[in-house]
Amino acid sequence: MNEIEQLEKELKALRPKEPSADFERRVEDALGDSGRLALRQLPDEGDEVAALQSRGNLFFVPGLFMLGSAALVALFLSFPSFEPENAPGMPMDAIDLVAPVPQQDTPTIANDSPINGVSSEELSAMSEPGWEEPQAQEILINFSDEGIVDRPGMSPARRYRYHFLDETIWRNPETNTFIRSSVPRQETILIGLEPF
Amino acid sequence: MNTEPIWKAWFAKHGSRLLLFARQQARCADDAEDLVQEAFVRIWRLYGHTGEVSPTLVYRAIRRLAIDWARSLDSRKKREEKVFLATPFASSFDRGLERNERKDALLQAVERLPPEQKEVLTLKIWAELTFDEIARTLDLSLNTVASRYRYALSKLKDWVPASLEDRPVRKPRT
Repeated sequence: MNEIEQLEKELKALRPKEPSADFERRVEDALGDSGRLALRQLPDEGDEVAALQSRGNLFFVPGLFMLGSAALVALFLSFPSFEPENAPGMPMDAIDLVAPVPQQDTPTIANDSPINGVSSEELSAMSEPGWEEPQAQEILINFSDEGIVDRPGMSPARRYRYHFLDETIWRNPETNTFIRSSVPRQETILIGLEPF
Repeated sequence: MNTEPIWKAWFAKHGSRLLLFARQQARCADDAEDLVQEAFVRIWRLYGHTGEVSPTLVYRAIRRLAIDWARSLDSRKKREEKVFLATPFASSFDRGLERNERKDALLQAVERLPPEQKEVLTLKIWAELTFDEIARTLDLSLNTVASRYRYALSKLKDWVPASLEDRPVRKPRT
């Protein structure tokens, strides 16, 4: 290491003072609602689904899907005389991965707005012995800024498109199986611009 | 489910660096905080919803605001003949209990650098921007930025004696 590199290293070791808590409060007040537009989820220990979500690793989703498929095969094999109309302890409608059923108890999802378009009545009718309440979550895949759009009679707005994956997991601890369903969804958000 | 606004994590990472840069652009510590607040809020309102805001944008906004404010302050100053005291550069650093002669000498040497070299050094060393980002922030050419940085380091090397080792600063006896 030459003298200049050593000097750079020494300078980097000097740490600028952190902003005061009072200053951060001022910034928070000044940001107002715009400070709460983007949130991050804090890891919640012991909650497997929350942990998956907090990783935000999109490469993990295909792996989960494969795991779910494998579990599905194992589930079929675990029934020696499999007959759909008489299969015990299993929500048969839920096997169809294209038509998933979410649960309504997740705090982020309102009871009257199921993420997969299935009402709470339909969901409660599907409860079967041995199966726990399904766990639902939404995973942000990506988002894009589509630029400024005109709105008739209103100020222009910036349009953002968000792509989500609505995921529901059913678990049966007795047979050590689970079923996972993923449905893509997109939302567009318009944020009004203040002309100045 | 616990959530936290993303700006808090962003600000925890970049806040101290932004303030350090703003202190060089402003006339006093209070002005520096106002500059950071104004620049950060403006940029976050535009891009904050994405959760990914380039620090370069905020540094650039701080600099432009500082220029605008300096113009308006200059005209006010002429009227009020108010004297501003510059904030010592060393006071912007967390010196804690581990003060030593070499660190003190380094900070004093940085203080002596011409402002244009000091701001490049600050953006490169503490803001960790690339030369290209610094050039865009300061509206300078890449060559100018690189040479200012090189001159700054060269001066520091000459001014801070290599014989000064990392030994604690002795407090004067009372």
